[in-house]
Amino acid sequence: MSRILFVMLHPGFVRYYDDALTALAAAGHDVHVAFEITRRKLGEDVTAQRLAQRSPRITCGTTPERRESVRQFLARADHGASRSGQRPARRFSRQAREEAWESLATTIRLLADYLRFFDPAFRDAVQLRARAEKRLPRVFASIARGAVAVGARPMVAAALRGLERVIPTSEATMDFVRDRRPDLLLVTPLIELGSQQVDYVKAARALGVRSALCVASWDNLTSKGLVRVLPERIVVWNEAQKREAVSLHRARPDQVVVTGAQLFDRWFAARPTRSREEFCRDVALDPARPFVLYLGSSIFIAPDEVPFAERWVSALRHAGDPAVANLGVLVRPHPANARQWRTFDPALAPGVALWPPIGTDPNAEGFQRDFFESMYFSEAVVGINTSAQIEASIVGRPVFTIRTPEFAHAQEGTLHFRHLVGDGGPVRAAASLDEHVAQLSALLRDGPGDGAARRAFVQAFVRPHGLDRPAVPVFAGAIERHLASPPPAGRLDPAWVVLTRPAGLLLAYVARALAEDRPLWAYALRPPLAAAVALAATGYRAAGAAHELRSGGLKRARRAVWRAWYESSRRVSAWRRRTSSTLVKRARHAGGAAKRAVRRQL
Amino acid sequence: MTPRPQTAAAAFWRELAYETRRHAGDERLPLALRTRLRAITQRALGRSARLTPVPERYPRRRVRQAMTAANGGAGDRTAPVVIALRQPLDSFAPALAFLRDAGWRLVERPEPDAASLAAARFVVTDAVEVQQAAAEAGRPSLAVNLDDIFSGYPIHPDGVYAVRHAIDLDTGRTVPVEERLTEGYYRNLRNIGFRQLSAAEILDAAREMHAGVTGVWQERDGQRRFREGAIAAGTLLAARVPTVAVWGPDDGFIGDGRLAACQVEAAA
Repeated sequence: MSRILFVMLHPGFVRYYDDALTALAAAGHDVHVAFEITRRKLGEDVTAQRLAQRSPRITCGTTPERRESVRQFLARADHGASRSGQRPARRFSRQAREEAWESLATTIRLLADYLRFFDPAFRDAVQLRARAEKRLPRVFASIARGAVAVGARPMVAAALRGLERVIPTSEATMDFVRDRRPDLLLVTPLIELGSQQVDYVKAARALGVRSALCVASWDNLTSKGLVRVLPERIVVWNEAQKREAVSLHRARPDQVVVTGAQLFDRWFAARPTRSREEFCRDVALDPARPFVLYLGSSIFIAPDEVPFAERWVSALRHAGDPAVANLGVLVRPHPANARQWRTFDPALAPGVALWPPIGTDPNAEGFQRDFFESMYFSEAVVGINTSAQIEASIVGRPVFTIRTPEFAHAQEGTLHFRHLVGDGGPVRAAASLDEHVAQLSALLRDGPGDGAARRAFVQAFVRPHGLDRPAVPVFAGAIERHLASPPPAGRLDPAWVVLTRPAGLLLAYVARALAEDRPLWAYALRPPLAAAVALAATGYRAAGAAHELRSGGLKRARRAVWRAWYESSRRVSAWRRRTSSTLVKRARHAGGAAKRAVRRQL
Repeated sequence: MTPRPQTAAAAFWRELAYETRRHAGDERLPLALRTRLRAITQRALGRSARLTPVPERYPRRRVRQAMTAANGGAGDRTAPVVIALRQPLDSFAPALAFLRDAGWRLVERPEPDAASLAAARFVVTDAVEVQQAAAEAGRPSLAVNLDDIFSGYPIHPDGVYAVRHAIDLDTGRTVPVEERLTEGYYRNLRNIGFRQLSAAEILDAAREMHAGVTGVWQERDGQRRFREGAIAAGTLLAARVPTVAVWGPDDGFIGDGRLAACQVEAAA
């Protein structure tokens, strides 16, 4: 069968594709998952280990190490960091050249990502734009703003696309893909700001390997970076994402495949494992009272969510309708944004509980079950802007949100929020807490309704091929169809790319220097300072050599004198010993002869 | 030097320090030169630090004069109590009910102007700015749910303040109030979150304020110790912690007011 190489940014993306990869392995394909960076914050490494245990056809590993990752690129702008002991590469060595190309690649990718947020579609995306700007060296941000001001954004974007082609793919990446000999290269998410995964798409193109981008989540195409080099296929959840891929990422409609959200299949099949009473007892809620579930959002969406949640609880408790005022409240923090909830005190109001406790391992047995049952047993679900609101819609709960100025950046300021609250969206949005309380009151009074609109959303957004048709087999089928298609021909770089590469290298050295994000005049300090340091180094070396010579010559002379004295004194003492022993012998001999002569005369 | 050239000079020395530090890390250079470059780096950083404009200090003298000039209106039970709460949480309700029951006339003004503050007997607030404005108007305040011990100054000498509980977000540990006077705490602020005070704590603080305003302030040992600790910490941290640097240890502001007795007792 076929060999599939799946390049993921980190093991956190395994959860989006574990069932789909298992299905592909069961169909006889060998799947190797390669991670660009490690991540253990939420036990992602455990998720990867579990994936590898699912089938002998699935293996996990890492991609080759880069000369400079995006993280290292960003760290070079951290002036406070201590870099003592680092040995810089020789200026024109191979290592220095590769580092420079990496810097240029990251720079133009970050710049392209920043520029996209000036598109009219992102008019309200102030925070997304600010996030992209924050990662870009200041000089490039100024250039981008200037280009936008004079209406040259499309030209700059086109120039960046051209530059992307000039940047060579590193030998390590090419060798990695070549050695693995995949029939298909999958990549996700590819759209992180400044993502270097684009190199794998370029390598696949050059080597004639089929390629596809798997869009992991519902916000990927609108809240992050650009798909700078398009793979042959883009696998998305639904038609809305297909439109985004075409309109925002320049994809052709025929290269986008709609499969549904394969990661949500588990929610369609999930059933509670305990009674409502048991669940309420376990999470410290009163089983006799209905409860509403508050779902926390990610840190970008809600960096300071606790004060809002406290106000929300207070609004419920002061509701004129006793049914709302007496509702139980279950708060479930976002797993990746749980720390801030340590400041939340459920005892501030009666009938409030927080579950699971902060610090619970997301890989722990029962974590997902608790999440499902939290939604399943609730009367309604409330959140700012989170994918859990989609999951709650699948489970069949009414979903609410409140528009507030403090989260405007995350609600009106993001395009994906419109999927939730726009036409056909499942979430009922309130302009104030009072309106929200009135909505809850109406829900408790009139019931949730038949849920037809919610089901229509789930069908359109999560399972576009039919509510009864799981997305995992559809996803696996799309991958297999792509595998069955003829592979693309390997592409050599065109002549203009090869010819402009030396000029590109010069630009790369400039980009590498500018990545340090220093004031431009500071770069002017460098040549004279470097010359001064080099001169001083020569002086220090010369002085060192003279000192060595001086101190060495003296040492040798001292040693010679000492040796001469030592050896001469040894010689003298030996001579003295020899002489004295001869004299003694002679005296003894004379004495003995005299004795003998005296004896003879007597 | 005027601020602009001074800032430019500070930037020059800082950039020079970064450059020399970069060379100092090059192992190919002679050790003696690298040692010398490190020394140059330190000197350049020192110069840069000396030239960097210090944070603008609070106009303490003016505030002190205003406080002294203002008549506290002591004993005037007919003057209203201004309630200036930006986040009117449920936890304030018992304290407000207590004050009402104690005979005070409560006037709710989330954004009080100088005139209403000057006419008040005292102010209950959860906003530092309101508390500072009250101090300038010569009126004591009960400031609740503040984040930081130092950023709340100036506070009226008869004021009571209660800080939100500081929680170490890594461990969930509640940081004791004494520890919030240390440099280590200020260095670790990014790992600190704040939890609102409970209704009982705010009620206790309101009782203390009422007792002080209507009778004689009785400072407890813990409050006195905390005040001494704050003064010592203010002296120690003034040069290094920006929040404290705004105040500096002089002019006697630090140590004014009282940390609510319930917080001191909880720490004890």
